[in-house]
Amino acid sequence: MEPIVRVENLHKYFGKLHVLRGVSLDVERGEVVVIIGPSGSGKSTFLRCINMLEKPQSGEIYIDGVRITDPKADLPKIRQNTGMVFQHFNLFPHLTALGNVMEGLLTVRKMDKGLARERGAALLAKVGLADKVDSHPRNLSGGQQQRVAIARALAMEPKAMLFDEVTSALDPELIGEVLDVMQQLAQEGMMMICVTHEMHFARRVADRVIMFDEGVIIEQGPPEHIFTEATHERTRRFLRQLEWQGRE
Amino acid sequence: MDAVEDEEAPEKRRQIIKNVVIAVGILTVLVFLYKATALRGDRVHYEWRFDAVVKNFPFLLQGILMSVAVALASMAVGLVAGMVAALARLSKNPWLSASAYCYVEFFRTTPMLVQLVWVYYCLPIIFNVSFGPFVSAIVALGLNAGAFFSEIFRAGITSISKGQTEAALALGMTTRQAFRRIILPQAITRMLPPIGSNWISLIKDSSLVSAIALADLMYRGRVLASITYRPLEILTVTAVLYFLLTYPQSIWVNWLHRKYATAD
Repeated sequence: MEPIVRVENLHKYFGKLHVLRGVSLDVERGEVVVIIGPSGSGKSTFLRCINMLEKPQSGEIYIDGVRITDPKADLPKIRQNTGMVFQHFNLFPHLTALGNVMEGLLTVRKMDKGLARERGAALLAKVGLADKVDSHPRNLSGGQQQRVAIARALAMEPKAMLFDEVTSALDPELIGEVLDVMQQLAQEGMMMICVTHEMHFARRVADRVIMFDEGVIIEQGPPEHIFTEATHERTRRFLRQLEWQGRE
Repeated sequence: MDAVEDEEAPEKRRQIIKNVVIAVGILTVLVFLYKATALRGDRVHYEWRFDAVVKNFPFLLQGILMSVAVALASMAVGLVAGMVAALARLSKNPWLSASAYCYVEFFRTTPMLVQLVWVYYCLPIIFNVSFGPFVSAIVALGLNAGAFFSEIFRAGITSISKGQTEAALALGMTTRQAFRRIILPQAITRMLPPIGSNWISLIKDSSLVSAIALADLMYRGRVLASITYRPLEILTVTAVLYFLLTYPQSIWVNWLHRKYATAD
């Protein structure tokens, strides 16, 4: 089966800084991939290349067979295949929770308002926020805002969901409600690529854990392998350092 | 309740004192003007006579209509010019962005009076058309306002965090859709307070058109002052009329500033 996301030999520079040094990766339909690694290793940059929020200098990326690194690629159309959830939520403050979730459907899919409202309400109920449809982001907690952000991305019925450190900006007691939603999505068969420091989540939900360091993938494998018997010394050292946060 | 009242009482007292000081100040100025002119010892008295003002008041008042018309028309031109210039400045096209930069810098740094006079006398020569003082006024004042508005628009637009655009693009929106649906609505609320302030400046600066013989309030004031030989009464009333024109505006502009203060 053709992998939904195929990345070949990706290189990305920020000025002189060589952030991604030849990264290749295939992710299959329904797979949950968790990317870990020290800050500055390029994991977020890599994730943001997958929906071309960052443009790589060389290498190829294919989403469901379509070459998105083609300069003539119709990016807005391609981006409908992937949904992204951001570390700082990036909800639209001038819209309600329901408005946020409906926005993609109305503007991009040109959906009828009534139908969009129905879909939006159903998605907010799915993430446990049925009673918050008319709330504005400023009146929601961080965990609630992030769940709205997930519903907003899901509204476009993407083939893959990209999670960029989505719990890093949350107070500890609010992290669980977001991870619960993500686990539910994984169980429903959504393909997910998550950059995260939540190791318990990775152990429980991931099909594959990928260790990034200095712009390359140094190791990947099933969570049990990575967490208990990682091959590379740098992987083991990184995981050991997380013991202090109780995240290992 | 007690704590709140304790905080409010000194604040109310401060307000009362402030109002008393203002009233006393105004009275002092008026008394001074009257005394200074009425009692000049051995020199000739100047008698305040308002009958000239009363007789010519309608003529003066019509100037207000012209001043407001100039301000409104220039505001409209300025808003359009400002938005075009802001978008040009933000565009990736170096020609557009450089031209907008030159326009903005030129109109912000040269004096408005100079721009006004130049447009009135020189544009007809260059383009071989003749247009009256009103059109010259709204062209010059409008382009001037446009330069300031373009900076306000640009600042408002760029102040919206990049994450908003990224979230919109990630949903599959084009940059144009993201701008129209997500960035612009948020930017507009931030732009309103400085635009309000600029509007008040525009009303005051409209008095410059008297220099090219456009019959606004200032022009009519000066004409009356010279034909009635009563400059003190006429010009003081003119100044008071301008004050009455702008002060109520500043009240709702202050409300704009309070309501839309950036509170991120």
